[in-house]
Amino acid sequence: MITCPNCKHVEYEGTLFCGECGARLWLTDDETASLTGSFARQSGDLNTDVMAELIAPPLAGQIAVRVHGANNQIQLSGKAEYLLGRADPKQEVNPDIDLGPFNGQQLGVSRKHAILQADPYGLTVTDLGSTNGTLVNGKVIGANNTQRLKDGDEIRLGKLALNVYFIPEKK
Amino acid sequence: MSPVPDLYACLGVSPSATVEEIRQAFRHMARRFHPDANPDPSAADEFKLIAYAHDILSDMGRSKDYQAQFNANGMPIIVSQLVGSRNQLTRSSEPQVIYYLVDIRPMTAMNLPDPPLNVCLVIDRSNSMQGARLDQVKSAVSQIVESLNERDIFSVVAFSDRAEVVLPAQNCANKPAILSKVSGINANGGTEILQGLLAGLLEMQRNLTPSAVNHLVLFTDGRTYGDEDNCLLLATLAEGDGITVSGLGIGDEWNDSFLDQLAAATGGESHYISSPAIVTRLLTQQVRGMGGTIAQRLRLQVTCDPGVKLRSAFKVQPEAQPVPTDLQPLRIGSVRRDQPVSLLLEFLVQTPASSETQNLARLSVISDIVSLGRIDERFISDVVIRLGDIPEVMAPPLAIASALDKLTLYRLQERAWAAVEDGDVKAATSRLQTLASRLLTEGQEELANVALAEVSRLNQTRQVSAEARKKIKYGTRALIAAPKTATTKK
Repeated sequence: MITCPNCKHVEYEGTLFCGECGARLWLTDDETASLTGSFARQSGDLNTDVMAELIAPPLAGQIAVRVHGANNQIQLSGKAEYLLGRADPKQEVNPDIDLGPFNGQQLGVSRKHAILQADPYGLTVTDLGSTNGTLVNGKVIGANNTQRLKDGDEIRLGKLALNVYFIPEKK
Repeated sequence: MSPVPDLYACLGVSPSATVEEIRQAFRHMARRFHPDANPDPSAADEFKLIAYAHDILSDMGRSKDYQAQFNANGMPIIVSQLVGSRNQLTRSSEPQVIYYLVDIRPMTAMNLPDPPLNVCLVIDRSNSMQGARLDQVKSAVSQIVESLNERDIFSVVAFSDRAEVVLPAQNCANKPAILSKVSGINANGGTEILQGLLAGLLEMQRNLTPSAVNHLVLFTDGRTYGDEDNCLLLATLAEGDGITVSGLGIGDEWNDSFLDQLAAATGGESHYISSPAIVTRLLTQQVRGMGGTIAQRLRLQVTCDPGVKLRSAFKVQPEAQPVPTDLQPLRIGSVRRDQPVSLLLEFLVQTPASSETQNLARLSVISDIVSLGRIDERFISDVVIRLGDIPEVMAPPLAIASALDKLTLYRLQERAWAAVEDGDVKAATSRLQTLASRLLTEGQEELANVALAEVSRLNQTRQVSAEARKKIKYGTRALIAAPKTATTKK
């Protein structure tokens, strides 16, 4: 159950507006981002405690990435962000996930293509102005744009596709 | 003419499925919809079709015949699409809410001709209609008559304590004669809606066919006494015959909840006319809009899986209107060529303890395709959701969020009036105040002021004005419907 931050009316989880006072019970993407970002949160009509209840718990576990056609998953943990791209020692580019071995160059992956960022509320992907673009679930996210990811989402870097999975921490 | 039902969709298999796949699909569907396993009242209807599908498709010979028929029948005319407020539910012991926006529209590139109309106007001629109201009605009739073509059938009934058939059902070849008859309507007497409704329906019965748009428009300014239940019964019978009933109310005397119910029984529209000046325009629009009708008697059968409950249904497009959920299948009205119908469904779900996905409901869109004279075409879709352990962070799709935002205002005013009726002035004033401030942020100053005026009236007299109540009810309702992209013109 969730409690309305405005009037304390109790509603079922998933309810979008309070039935008693009409207050919004969900966060816009911007609000979620500003909650987790380093900059101060803009004034909101929801109080923080309630918001913490409304949004997902932190992504405590690991992230796994599986490139289409590859047999093994790449497991990631311990960092807040992971660069996706193609390694190029000459230009000192060392991505966390090097897609060179996965035929990255032919499939149009840029050296610094995109970045995965973990925050207390999940994972986002940001395109780094790549040459051939970044798509999430078939939709272009636009150069230098950020999109929040869900478990199992498909990211396409140029023509190379991979899925991102969240592995919850074992209790 | 009956259409060929999509038995593949019914079992959830592809036309190339093997006998074994069909058998398995049948067992799965039987577990979901057999009336012994599923308490939903419409489960029996869905199961009947599932059993029939299994009979046909598992028999090689009959299956072949069916496939040929199915292919000859062509694509479905009316299809539906779903968007959910969430992509995933959380496995939990507590019930959760999920909303779905169901868009029902004709297949793109559909090129059906405009169907003929069978329209009856039932006009209140009680004393209070004297003057501007009746004059406006008359000028509406003359505009309607001008816009009808030779295939259309039109009739006019005027009623007070009793009904008079002013214009028996006929095509409008002799326009001057029709106009002179209508101009002779005088205001006199009380309001007994049952009389008018009955006479109007009888006129329509004479030319009833599924290949015409059968629509009765009731226009009243008064309250009918003692015959409400019979009116509703009559509307239910009319729905069965393929007649839609819409209601337009003017002034502050008429019974809005009754007119809402009457229209809802057939999926018709109900409107509040705030001033006589717009009567002509609204009435004419009503009739003109019918010209582009692709499907009528549109129904949505929502068969919930065990653990799932349909909490509410609201039509948000093309006009905003509550849809009672106690009447299954839900009555939705009609689909016009360039206007999809959108419904917002709210489900309360108890998730199973262990499973990757959950079936929430089967939606069957059932409709009569007017131009083809085809009745009970069915389009089946299943609502399935993924389950997870971690709640997802996702802003709901904009279309759902904005429809619900406005719907919340409508619900707020309903709760305010409910509190007034319970004598709880404190709750009523606080709800109206909240409503007023929300309306102000929406830029609806006029409505907000009406609400604030009622707050002070409540505090002084413990009562609200009937007119303000209707203004707020239909005003907040009108906010829900998305701005119209195109208006149907004949």
